[in-house]
Amino acid sequence: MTGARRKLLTTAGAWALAAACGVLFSFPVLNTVLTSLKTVADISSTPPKWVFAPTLEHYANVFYAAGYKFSQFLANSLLISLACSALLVVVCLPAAYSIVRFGIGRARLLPAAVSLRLLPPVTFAIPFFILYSASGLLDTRTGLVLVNLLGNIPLGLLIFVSFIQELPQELEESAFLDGATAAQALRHIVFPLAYPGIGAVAILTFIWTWNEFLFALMLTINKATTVTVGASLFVTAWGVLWGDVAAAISVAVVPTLLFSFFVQRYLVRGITLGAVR
Amino acid sequence: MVQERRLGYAFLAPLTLLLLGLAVFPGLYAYYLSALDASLETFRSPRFIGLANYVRVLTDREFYGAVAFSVRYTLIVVTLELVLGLALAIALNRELRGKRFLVSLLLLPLMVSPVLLGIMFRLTLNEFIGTVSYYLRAAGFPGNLLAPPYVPYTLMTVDVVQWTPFTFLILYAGLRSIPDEPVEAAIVDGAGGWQILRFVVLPLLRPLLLTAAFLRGIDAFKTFDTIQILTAGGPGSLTTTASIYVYKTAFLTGHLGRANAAVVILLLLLSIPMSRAIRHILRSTP
Amino acid sequence: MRELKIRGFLALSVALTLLIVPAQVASQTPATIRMVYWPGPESDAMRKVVDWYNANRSAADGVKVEMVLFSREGFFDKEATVLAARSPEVDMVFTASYILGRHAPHMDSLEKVVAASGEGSLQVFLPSARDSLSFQGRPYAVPMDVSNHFLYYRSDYLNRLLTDSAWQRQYSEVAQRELGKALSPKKPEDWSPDDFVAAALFFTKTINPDSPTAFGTVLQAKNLIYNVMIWDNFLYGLGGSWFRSGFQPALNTPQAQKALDVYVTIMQKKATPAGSTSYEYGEANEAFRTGKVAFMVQWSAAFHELDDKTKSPMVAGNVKLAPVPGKKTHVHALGVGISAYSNTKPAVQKWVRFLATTQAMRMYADAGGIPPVRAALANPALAKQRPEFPLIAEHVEKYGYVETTIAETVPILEILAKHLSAAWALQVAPKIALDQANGEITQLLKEKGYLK
Repeated sequence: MTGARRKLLTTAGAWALAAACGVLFSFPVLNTVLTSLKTVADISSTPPKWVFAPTLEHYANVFYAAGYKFSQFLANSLLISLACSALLVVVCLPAAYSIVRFGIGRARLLPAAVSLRLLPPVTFAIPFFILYSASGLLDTRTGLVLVNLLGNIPLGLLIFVSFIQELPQELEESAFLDGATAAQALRHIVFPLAYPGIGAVAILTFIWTWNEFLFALMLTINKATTVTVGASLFVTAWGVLWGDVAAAISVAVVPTLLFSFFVQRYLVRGITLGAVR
Repeated sequence: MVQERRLGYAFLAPLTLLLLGLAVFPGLYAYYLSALDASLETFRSPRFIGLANYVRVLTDREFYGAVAFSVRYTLIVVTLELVLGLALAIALNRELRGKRFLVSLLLLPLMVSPVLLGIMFRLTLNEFIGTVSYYLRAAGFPGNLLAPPYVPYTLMTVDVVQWTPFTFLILYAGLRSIPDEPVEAAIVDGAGGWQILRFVVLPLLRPLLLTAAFLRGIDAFKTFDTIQILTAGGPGSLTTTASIYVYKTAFLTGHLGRANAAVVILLLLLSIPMSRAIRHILRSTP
Repeated sequence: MRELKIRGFLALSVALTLLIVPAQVASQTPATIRMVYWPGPESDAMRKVVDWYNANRSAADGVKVEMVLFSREGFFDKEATVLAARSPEVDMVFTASYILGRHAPHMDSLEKVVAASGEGSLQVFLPSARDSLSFQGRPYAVPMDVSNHFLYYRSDYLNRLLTDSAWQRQYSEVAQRELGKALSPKKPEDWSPDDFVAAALFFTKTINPDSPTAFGTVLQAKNLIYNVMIWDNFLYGLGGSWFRSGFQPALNTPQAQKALDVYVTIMQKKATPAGSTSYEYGEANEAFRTGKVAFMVQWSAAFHELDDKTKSPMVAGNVKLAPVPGKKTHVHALGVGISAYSNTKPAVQKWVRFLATTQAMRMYADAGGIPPVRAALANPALAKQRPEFPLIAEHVEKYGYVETTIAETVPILEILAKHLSAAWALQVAPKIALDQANGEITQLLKEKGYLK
């Protein structure tokens, strides 16, 4: 087998695997989008209908007919997720740099921060509610940004630590010799080199925050309600309004989809390592 | 270099402040509650009962059942998600037509909240009106995937579909940052694809593989939303995870003290794999 | 330059006035009270009442009502959190008979708030609903919606069973062969639990190939406290109960065993869909709506949906209601009461007195609520659109029972849900499930001082 043919085969195989998984993985979401366009009778028809007269009634319910401020929920989620995603990089990247390069906080702070991920959130709703009531953070977007930040610190720290320790130290050392400060080294050398890690962390944090349910439920009353909690308002004591929930999900997926589509471009190296070695 | 170290402390300041301001009170509160007979009705006037809550949890057969289910669930889904995620990351780490589109398609299940995805699966897996059930039955398979004996595997499949994109994204980002020369050098030395993967790529990817495994492992162990919605831990206690056990103890039986004792025990239990994972993620520099 | 300064000054003063004026107006606006509700038909109905009140009575009473919806997923958990934290964020608590015991320590009794009799008093409501929202003999919430169970049946099939002699022979044969009992078809109104099981088998295709439906009935067997409430009907209908005298649990009695056998037999004979172990309200409705089953025990709220031609075209028009076999129905009420931590109690009390009027409850019923008020449910104009309303009033009064309203109601339901769902799924032998449940409930009640 020649090299070229072999390469073609592996490429085809790679594409086939990715496409198969893509279809399998996206099925629940695509099916949801279809459901959102069906009438109540069509949703419960068997066999499942693939061709049907679409209706927008569920979207009308979501946006105004049901009486919920859905666009405000969307705006809340967008602001909270963007802020959380950006702040997480700002908080965790320098911290990870310190941990890797100076060894500060390796022994205590890192395990303490990472152990946040170990806690099952259910029982923490009450102390957080008390803390937030006392500090005026209850039912505010700031409050939700902070609590989501806390939940994603373990992810951000671990991924950044993994990335930074793979970067060649020589670059920074030569920068220090030239009189640069650690802040400059971080800004001009580490930051661009860690682009793929930053991209991954930003996407995962955005998605996590967007989807977070329990704290968003417990720590809001009606002003800072997020879209995930808003969508769950279409679950009633008397069954699920499938079409309305599906429409709410379909709308809610769009911003995350756009965000991850555009941030994907950072999933490539900032500068080629080989060129500077 | 002294000055750099000082700046290093400044780099850690925001993180430290966040932890002190937000995490210390709720964290200590868990330990405090775990020593009280606090229930939802008597939350503010509890009695100190020492280690009684711990004794109660540790002698509860259902606690062990829940932990055992969570462990089994975690081992299976994390293994599948790592293998599949890595395969996808390798498959996409090359020039491909329509790659950004494919990556977005692969990330789709992550973008729906587990709560909402669980709710939609109640429809998709419904015996009579569910799309999946219909085609499974048409193909001669059982259509009632949420009943025993299939239900644990159904839940695991849902987890794999939703969370493989998570491991994929982390590993894909890792592959994208691996320098070219080690790989090129290996090719020059005549190494084949598998050898490159085994001896060059995987060692370089090790910290991220561990990170992905650790984060997914912890989250899978804590799984709550999807299972609570699809089976509420049943039938009986068949699919009760550790988090569902904690939830039911706290909010249904109303024993906040006992629930927090369970949380502290789980915390101690999970901190063993955590410290091992951190030790292996950190390379021995500097 | 000078001109600019003047302009700036003018702009500033205008801005300041604008800031001050609304503040002055605000001091005269009515006190806002916040009431929690859960989303669905109940909140749709309540929104109309709230809107009417805010438009017509706010000015006179000096009260404005704001309704906030907490998501149904985790609803009571969130409310428990708000109350445990003693938060004044919520003035009116949404509660239910089965969870009132847990909320009452955080609520004000309505004893002195409402009038002693007549309009504005709790006399407006059906006694059983009123009692189901009382804790230790004192009322804590205004009953807003009442829930009970009916036997829903397909009148087309069940009527044929009463007239078609071939079907009747087959029925007796099935009962003899499968259950070893000599039974003949009866009107659903007269069914005993035995007739319920026999009919379920008769209408199951794998047992009787002539059956028009795939399954006789659909059980809701997911591990949920609400499903225990449905099963309770068989327990009470067969003469059992949660407790013997005092609070001695009675789940290991022959009656409980027999009630559990109803479910277990139906499961074993596959007279209910295989997936029933993950079913709750919605799934059962889907099975009925798609014509897969002949009858089921279901919540009263389902009738409106199942007899609707656009929502359930396959069955609408052929859906009839009968008492649950054994002639007992679980009853609970949803209601609203005053949070002990509210900062605006005088205003909240005014709103409570308004809710306890026939006028408010009629409005609520017209908007789709199911208030336990005879004058509202039996209103002939309304009965045309909601034919089940008079039946609800009748059944609640004639067949209704409330298990208990003690603080441990939810924990007991949870223990039952866990053990019964295992037995329903045929994972655990019925005897063992009942013994374990009985043991755990005994231990719980001992810890809480109900038992020695």
